[in-house]
Amino acid sequence: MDTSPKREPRLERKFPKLRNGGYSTESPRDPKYNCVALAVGDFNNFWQYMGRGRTRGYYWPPDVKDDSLESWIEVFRLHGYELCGNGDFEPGVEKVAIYVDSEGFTTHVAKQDIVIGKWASKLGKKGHDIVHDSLELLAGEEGDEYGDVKVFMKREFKGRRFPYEQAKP
Amino acid sequence: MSAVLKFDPRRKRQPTDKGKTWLDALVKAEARTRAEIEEYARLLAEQNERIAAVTEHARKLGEHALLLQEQECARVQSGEANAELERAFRELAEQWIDETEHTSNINKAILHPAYQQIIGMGKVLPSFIVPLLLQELEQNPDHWLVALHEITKEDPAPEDSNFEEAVEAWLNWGRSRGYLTEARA
Repeated sequence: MDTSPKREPRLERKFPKLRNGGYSTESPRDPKYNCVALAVGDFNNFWQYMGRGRTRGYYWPPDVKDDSLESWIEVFRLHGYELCGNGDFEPGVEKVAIYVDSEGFTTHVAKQDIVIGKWASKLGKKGHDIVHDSLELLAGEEGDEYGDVKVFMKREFKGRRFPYEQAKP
Repeated sequence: MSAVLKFDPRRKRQPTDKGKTWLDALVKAEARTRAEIEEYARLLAEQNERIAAVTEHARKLGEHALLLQEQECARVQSGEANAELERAFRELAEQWIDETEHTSNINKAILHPAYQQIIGMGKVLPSFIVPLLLQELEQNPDHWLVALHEITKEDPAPEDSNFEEAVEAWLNWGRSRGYLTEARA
């Protein structure tokens, strides 16, 4: 019986580094939440700053002014995170890593799943949840890659909470 | 008794004739005026010819426009134009979905040219594009809320709705206006 991880050719076309990296898809594609929602553990909302006259259907903390990197940092501060220097796994601590692309858009946040020692990501507005061995697998400027990790933040581990974990029996 | 000076055109060239100067001037002025009138008449005639030519050209253009309009009406009535528009919409939608599937930042995703083109089409032909967007939202939910909001300038979603609730509100809005005919199972 083949027990090797299931490959996703389409995903690997969009994120070429996944071809040679360890990853697995953990959920169906879903437009209801995004990477920020996954990282803060709120799977009922799509966390997105929309600005004045905003289109409804999105959530963003009312006191956070825009979707700049500084504002993403503020969002995670509101959830008990503080800035730290790296993405190393540490006992009793969980971290997030925020990506910024070459155009200056804050593009993605990945969160440590410290129980399995991997990173968890909700890919985009309608992608899968995946777990991946390293942050580099989603970094770069090719295909749908997210640019580079610019910021790490950490907080005390408060219990495992991921959409794919809830979905499992 | 001084002699009475009588006007005699035959004498006008006589150097001693004091009336020569004004008579000469009068004749020249008359000739000039006549020439000017003739020139004006000639220009007027030319202008009239040009106006007639332009009028004729405009008439032909009008006839051609009417013909094109009739052809376009026939094409629309035959559904050919609708099919073309729908095909263009589907291609743009497919392109946007494919190329922004992994974009987390909606503000970045909606800047994609295909999305902006759909909004542009919607502003010109809202009654055609809005139903297509709603069908897309119903059958393959994605982030079309911004486009619908931009095109219709409405937002039927409750103030604090999440994505799912906002989608449902838009679908109900579409059904209430006859844009969607069947409720989701």
